[in-house]
Amino acid sequence: MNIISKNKSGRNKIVALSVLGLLLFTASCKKFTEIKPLDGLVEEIAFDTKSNIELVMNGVYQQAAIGKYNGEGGRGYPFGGASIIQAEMRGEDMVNLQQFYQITYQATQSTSSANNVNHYENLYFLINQANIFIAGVKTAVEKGVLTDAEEKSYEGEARFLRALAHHELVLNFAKPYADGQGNKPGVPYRTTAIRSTTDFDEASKVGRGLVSEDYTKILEDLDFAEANLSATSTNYSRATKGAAIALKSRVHLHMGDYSAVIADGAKLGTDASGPTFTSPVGNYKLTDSPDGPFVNYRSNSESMFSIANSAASNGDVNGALASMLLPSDLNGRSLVSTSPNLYNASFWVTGDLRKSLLQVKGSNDGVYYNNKYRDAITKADWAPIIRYAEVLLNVAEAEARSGSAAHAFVLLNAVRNRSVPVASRFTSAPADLVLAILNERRVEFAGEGRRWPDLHRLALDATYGQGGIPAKLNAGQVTGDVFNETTILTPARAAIAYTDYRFLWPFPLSEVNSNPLIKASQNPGY
Amino acid sequence: MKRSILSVLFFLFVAIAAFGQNRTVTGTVTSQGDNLPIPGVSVKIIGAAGGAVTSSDGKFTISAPAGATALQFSFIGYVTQTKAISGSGTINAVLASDSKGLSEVVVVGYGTQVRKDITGSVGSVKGAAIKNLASPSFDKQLAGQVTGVQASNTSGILGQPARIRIRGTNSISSSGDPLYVVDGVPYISGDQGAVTQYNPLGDINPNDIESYDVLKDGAATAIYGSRAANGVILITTKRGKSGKAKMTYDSWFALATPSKRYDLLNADQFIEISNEKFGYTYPDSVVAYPSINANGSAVNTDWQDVVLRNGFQQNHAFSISGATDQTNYYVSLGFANLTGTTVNNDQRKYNFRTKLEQKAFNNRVTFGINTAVTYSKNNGLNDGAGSGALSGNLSAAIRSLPNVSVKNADGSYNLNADQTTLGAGSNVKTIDDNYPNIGYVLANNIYRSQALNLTGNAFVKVNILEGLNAMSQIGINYINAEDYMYWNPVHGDGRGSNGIVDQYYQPLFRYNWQNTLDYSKTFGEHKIDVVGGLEFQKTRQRFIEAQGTNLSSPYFAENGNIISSTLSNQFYGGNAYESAYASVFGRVSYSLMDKYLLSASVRRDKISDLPIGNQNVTLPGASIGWRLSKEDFFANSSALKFINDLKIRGGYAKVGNVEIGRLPGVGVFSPVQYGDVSGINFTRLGNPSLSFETSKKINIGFDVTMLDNRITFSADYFKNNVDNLILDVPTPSSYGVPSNKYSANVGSMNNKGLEFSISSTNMKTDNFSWNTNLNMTFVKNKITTLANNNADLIDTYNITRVGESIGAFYGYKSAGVNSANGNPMFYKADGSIVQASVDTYEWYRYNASNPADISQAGEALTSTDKTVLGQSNPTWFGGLNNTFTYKSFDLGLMLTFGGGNKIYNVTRQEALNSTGFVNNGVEILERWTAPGQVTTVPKLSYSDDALVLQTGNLNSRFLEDGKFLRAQNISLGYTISPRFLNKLQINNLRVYAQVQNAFVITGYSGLDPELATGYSTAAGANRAPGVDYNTNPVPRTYTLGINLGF
Repeated sequence: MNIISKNKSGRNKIVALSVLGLLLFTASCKKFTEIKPLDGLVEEIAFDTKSNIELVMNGVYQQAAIGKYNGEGGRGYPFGGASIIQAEMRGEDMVNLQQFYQITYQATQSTSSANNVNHYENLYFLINQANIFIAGVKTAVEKGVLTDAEEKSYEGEARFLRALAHHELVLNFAKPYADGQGNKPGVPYRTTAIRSTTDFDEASKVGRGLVSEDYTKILEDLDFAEANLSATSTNYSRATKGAAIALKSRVHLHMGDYSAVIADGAKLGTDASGPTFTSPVGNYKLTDSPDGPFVNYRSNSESMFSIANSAASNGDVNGALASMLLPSDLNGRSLVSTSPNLYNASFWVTGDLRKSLLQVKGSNDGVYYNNKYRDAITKADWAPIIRYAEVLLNVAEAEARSGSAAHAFVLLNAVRNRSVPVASRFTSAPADLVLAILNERRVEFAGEGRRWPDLHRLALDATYGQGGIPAKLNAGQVTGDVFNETTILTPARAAIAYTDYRFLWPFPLSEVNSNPLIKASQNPGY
Repeated sequence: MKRSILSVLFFLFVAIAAFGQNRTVTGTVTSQGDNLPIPGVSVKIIGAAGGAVTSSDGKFTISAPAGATALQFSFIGYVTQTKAISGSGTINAVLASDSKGLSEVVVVGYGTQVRKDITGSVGSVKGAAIKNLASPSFDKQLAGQVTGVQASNTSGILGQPARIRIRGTNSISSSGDPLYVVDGVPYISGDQGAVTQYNPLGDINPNDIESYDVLKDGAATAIYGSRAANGVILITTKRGKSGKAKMTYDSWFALATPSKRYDLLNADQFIEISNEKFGYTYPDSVVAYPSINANGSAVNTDWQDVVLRNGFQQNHAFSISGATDQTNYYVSLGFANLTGTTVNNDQRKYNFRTKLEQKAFNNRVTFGINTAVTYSKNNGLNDGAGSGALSGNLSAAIRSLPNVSVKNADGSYNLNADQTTLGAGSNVKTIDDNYPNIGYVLANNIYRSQALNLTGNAFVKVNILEGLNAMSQIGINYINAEDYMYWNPVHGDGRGSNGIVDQYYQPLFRYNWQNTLDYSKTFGEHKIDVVGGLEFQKTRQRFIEAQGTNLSSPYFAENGNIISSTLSNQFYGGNAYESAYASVFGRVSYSLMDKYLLSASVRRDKISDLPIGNQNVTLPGASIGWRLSKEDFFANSSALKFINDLKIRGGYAKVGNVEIGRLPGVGVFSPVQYGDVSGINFTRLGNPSLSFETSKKINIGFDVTMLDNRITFSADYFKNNVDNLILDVPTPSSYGVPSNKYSANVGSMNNKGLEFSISSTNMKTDNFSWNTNLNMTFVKNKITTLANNNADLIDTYNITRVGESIGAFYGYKSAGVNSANGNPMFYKADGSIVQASVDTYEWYRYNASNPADISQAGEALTSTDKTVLGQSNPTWFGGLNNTFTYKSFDLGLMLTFGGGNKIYNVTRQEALNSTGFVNNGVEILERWTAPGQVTTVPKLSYSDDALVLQTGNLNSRFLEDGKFLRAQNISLGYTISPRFLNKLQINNLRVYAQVQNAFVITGYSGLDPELATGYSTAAGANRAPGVDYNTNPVPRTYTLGINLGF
C-alpha cells in the first residue's frame, strides 16, 4: 500500500508540475502571437524621426530607379533605364535586334503587354510613394520632427519626382499638348497619398482630366520645387533647384511656350552671350568632352539630374542600361543597335567625337552600339534624366522658333562644336536652323531616351514632325557593312500615322479592370 | 524499476487469489495466410469478467470462471473472432486480416478512432502501398490512392513537390496545400530551396510510414481548426510490435526514362522552314545552310539528348523494431540515390529514425521520443519552367538549331566567336535572342540545395485515472538548408556579370508544444471519448545570402562554396520572419449502442500573421452517424441480409486557413537601396480589419459493407463554402498601391462534389485472389463573390470570374487560318472574324464569300475580345487499382485518370511555333504555303510572334483537352516460400518488378497532361493552374526490388 501511495504522490507531482508549467507558459504568452515584422518598419513609425524620414526619401528615389517587373524584381522602371530604352524603342534612331523589345519597337502593345504595363504601373508607384512622403513630412512638422523649411525642401524633391513621373505618363498615354492646346484627355494627376483603404474614396474620383490640366499641375509642382530646393547642391542624384528649372524648360517646350523656355533658360545662364555657358544656379556647364557625363556619371559638371544606380542596386541583366545597349563582346546583350540611318545621316558628320567616343562597334557583328553606359558587369551606370546640354538645345529651339536665330545659333554651337571637327563646324547659321537643332538633339541625346518625347511633341508639326511613329528598320536589315556613313536604307517597317490608335499606349488592364472612370475613357482602339 | 516489478507482482497475486477456483484455458493465436503467431491479441471472456493478452509467441493462458461461454479474440487489423469454450481447455484461433478495415484504427488528429466509429470523411493509405515505388517523395505517389485527393506531378524535377488539392482548390490568394502532420507534429512542406527545388516531404523515409490518413471534410478536419481549410494529411510512422526483434531490409533499383519528348524539326526541315520564314520578310535572303561534320555527314542534332537522359536510381532501407510490455522501439536507416531524367538533376538522401517509448511508474507514465534526421542533397538546374529563360534547359533545347553541333571537332563546345551564343555553324545568322549552347551551360553552372532536416518529438503521457490521460508533447522541425549557385563567366547567364556565385544559408526552425487531456470510457451502451488541449507553435525563418560577381577564376566557384577575395563585386543580404500560433481545443465523441454516433469539436486559434486585435477565431464542427444496420428492423430483415454494415453520416464545420502570407494586414515600409544609400519605402498597404479566412464545410455520406464483407462502398456529397476569403484585392494601378493590391476578407466561392469508392474482393480461393479498388471524385468549383463589385481577377491566360470556376482559361478564340492567304484569324467579341496580315502588319476583316479580300480594315484584337474558354482544374478524377495473387505471385495494376479540364500549351505557342530564328516542332511543317490550302498553321514570317501567335495572350489554337488515363503502376511480385526461408532465419522475402507511368492515353500534345508551371505553393498556383510552359517531362520508371524481413 505504501508503495502505491508513493507512486500516487509521484504521479500527482508530475501532473501538478505539468499543469503549473502550462499555466505559467500560458500566462507569459499572452503576447505570444503579437509579432511585429522583422524586415520592415510598421507604417506608424516611419515618419517619427529625422533619420527615418531621410530613409523614406531615399526610398522614393529607389522606386524611381528600380521598380518592379510583373511584381517581381526590378528592371529599372520607370527611370532607372526603362524610360530611356522604351523611348528609344518607340522611335527610329535605334533598332531592336532581338525579340526582347519587339512589342514596343513594332507598336504591337496591348493592355497586357509587359513593357507598357510595367512602365505605367511603376510611374504610379513612384507617384504614390511621393505623395505618401509628402503627407508624412507634413505630419512630421506638426509633430515637431521637421522644421517648416526642412519640410518644404523634402516636399520639393517629392514634387519634382511627381511632376517628372506625370510628364512621362503624358508622353506615352496621352496626346501631345499641340493637339488642341491640351484639350485632349490626359492622365490621372494624383496628389493625394493612398496609404490605407480609407484613401480610396477620394482617389476614385480622379479621372483622366485634360492634357492641359496635367501640364498645369506639372508646372505647379516644378514651381514649388524651384522655390524650395537647394540652388547649390551638386548631388544630382537628388532633385535640386537647377534640375527643377531645367525640367520646366523641357515641359514648356512640349507646350510650345517658347518665351517660358527662354525665361527658364535665363535662370540657368543661357542668356549669356556665349560661346560657352555656365549656370548661376548650381554652376552647371558642359564637360570638355562629350563623354564626360557618361564616363564620370557619378560626378561631372553637366548632369543636372540622374537616377543613381550602383552595383548593389540596379535594373539587373534584364534592365540595366549597359546590359541592354552594349554588344555582347562588351558583356552586353546585343539587343539594340544604333540605326545605320542615324549613324550614316549627313548631319552626323564624319569625325564627330560622339561617333568615336560614344558609339562602339560590336566585334561579333560589326554593328554600332551605343557606348554611353559601359558598366555591363556591375551595371552601376546612372541613368541621365536631364543635363545642361538639353537646356541649351531647348532654349536654342525656343529662340530659333521665336525669331532669335543669332542666339539660337550660339547655343547650338555650344553643344555641337564640342564634338564636331573644326572643319565641319557651321560658319554661319544653317538655312533651317530649327531642323539643325532638332537633328543635333538626335545626335547629342542618342541612347538617352529623348527621341520619343520629340516625336510625340512634334507629331502635328507640319514642318518638323514625323506625323506619327516613323518607319523603322527591321533587325534583318542591320549588318555591319551598312555602317559606312553613306547608305540610307529604306525601312521595312511601315510608319504608323498619328491618328492610328497605336500612337498611344493603352491604359493597362490592371487599371481599367478596377477603375470604371478610366475604363470609360480608355484610349480608343484598345 | 524494482518498485514497479513489485507492484505488478502484487496485482498478480491479488488476481490469482480472486480467481483461484476457475478453469484454465490455453491456446495460440495465429494469422491466416502466413500462420505466424500474433502477439498482443486481446482475449476477452464472454459471459463473465476477465481477459488476457497473447504473449510474444502468440500464446495465452486464461482463467475462465464458471459462467464463461466463449472467448473473443480481437486485434487491430484483424477480423474479431469469437470461439465457444469447449471442454478441452485448449482453444486456438486463426485470425483473418481485416482488409475492409472496419476495425482499422484511423489517426484523426490528437488521437485515433476505430474506422467504424468515424462520422467524418477520412481516407487512408497504408505505408506499404507507397514504400516500394521509386519516387523522390511520397506526395508524388498519392494520385488515385484516396478519393477526393487530386495529386499531380507537375514536373519531372526531383525536388519539386506534387500539387495536392483535397476536394478542389479552397483558396484564391492563400495557400491551397494541405497541412501535413507527422506523428502529431505539423511538418514544414512546400519548396524550401532557394536556387533549386527542395521538397522536405521527400525527407520522410517511405519505409518508416505506417499509414497516411487524409482528413477531408469539415468534421474530420475541424480539430485542426484554422489550419484545416485545405484538408490535412496525417502521417504515422511505424512502431515496434511486441515479440522478438524484427528486422527488415527493403531495396529497389530503378531506371527512370523521360516519358515523352517533343517532336522537333530535324536539320533539313529546320533549314527549309527557316529560309522560308526569312524569305517572306527579306525576299531572296537565305540564312540557314547545312553544317558538315568532320566525317562529311550533315549535322543533325536533337538537343533534347543534351538535356534529358535515362537515370539510374536506388533506394535501401533497413529497420529493426520490437516491443515488450513496457518498451517499444523502432530504428531505421535509409539511403536513396536518384538520378533524374533531366540532366544535372539528382538527389541523394541519408536518413535515420529512432523511436522509443517506455512505460514507467506502474505503467501509469509513458515517455517517448521520436527523432528523424535526414540529410538530403538536391542538384538542380535552371529548368526555365514558366519562361523562355535563355539558359532554361528545355526552352533552350527546343529552340537550339538542329543543324549545328553541340561540340566542335576538337571537343570544345560550339560557341560563336565572342562566346556569347550558340555557334552558328554554316548558318549566316546566329540563333535569335542569344540562346546559349545549353550543353555548355549544363556542364558548367551549378545549382545545389542541401539540407539537414531534423524532426522529432518527445512526450510524456500520464494515466491519471482509468480512461483519463494527460499528455504533453514537444515537437520540432528544423531545416538547415544551404543553397549554392554558380554561373560560369564564359558563357550563359553568368557571362554578362563575368561569373556569379550566390550562396544561401537558410535555417528554418519550428517548435510545437501540445498539451492534451483525454478521457475515454464505456458505460454500458454509452461510449464516450473526450479530448481537450492547448497548442503553441512558433516558426522562425531566416536566411543570409552572400553573392558576388566578376569572378577571378572559375576554379574558385566549381568546388561549391563561395571563397573570399575571388569576386570583385561582393554583396550580402538576408531576411527573417517569425510566426506564432496558439490554440485551445476540444472534441467530444459519443456513441450509443454502437448505433448512434456523435462527434463535436471546437477550437479557438490565434495567429500572429493577422493584425493585433483580429488574431482570434473560434471554429466549431459537429457530425453525426447512424449505423442503420444495427437497428432491429434492418438486422432482422432477410432482404437486407446481404448488407453486413451500413452507416450514414453527416457533418458540418467551420475551418480556417493560416497560410495567408506574412502579415498581410500590416502596412509596412521595407528596406531598399537607392544607389549607394539605404532607404525604406512603402511596400504594403495595411488593413487593420483583416481577419481569418474561413470556410464552411458540409459532408453527407454513407459506408456500406456487403456480401460477407466482400464489397465496401462509400459515397459522399460535399460542399465547401469558402466565404471569408482573404483576397488580394486589386487596386487600380494608378493608385500606386504597392503591388496594386491589398488583403481583405472579401470574396467567396464553393467546391461541390461527389466522391465514390468501392473496394471489392472479386474472387478468393486458396490459390487465387482478385481485389479491385475504384475511387472517383467529381468536383465543381464556382466563384460566387469577388472584390470591387465582382471585378474579374485576370492573369495572363486565366481568369477568376464570378459564376465561373477559379482560374478558368480566358483569351482569344482562334478562327483558324485564311486558306486564301495564310493569315491567322480570330473572332471578335461580336462574332465577326478578323485576320492579321504578316505582310502589312495590319488587321483586316474576313470576308467569307471572298477570303482573298483584304480591302476592309479590321479592328485589332482588344482585351474585350477575350472570352472564357474552359476550365483549368479537372472536374473528375480518380484511380482504379486491381491486385491479383496466385500462389506466391502478386500482380498489381493501378490506373489513374482525370479530365473535364483544359491545358494551355504555352510551349507550343511560344517555342514550337516561334517565328524567330530558332528551332520548332514538327507542327510548323503544316504551315500554309499556297492559296486554297486548309491548315491550322499560318503562313510563315520572321519574328512576328506577337501578331501571328498572340504570345502573351491565350490563343485557343493552343488550348487543349486535358483528359487522360495513366498506367500509374504495374507491378509483379513473388513471395518466396517460408519453408525455404526458415532455414535462413528469414521470415519473409518478396521480390518484385514494376513499371511506373508505363503509358498515358491522352489527346494532349504536350509531354504530359499533368505538367504545369504553377504548382503547389508557387505564386499563382490557385489562380493560374493548367499552364504548361517549358516544363520538364515526368519519368517512366522501371524498378526491381526486394522486401526482406528477419
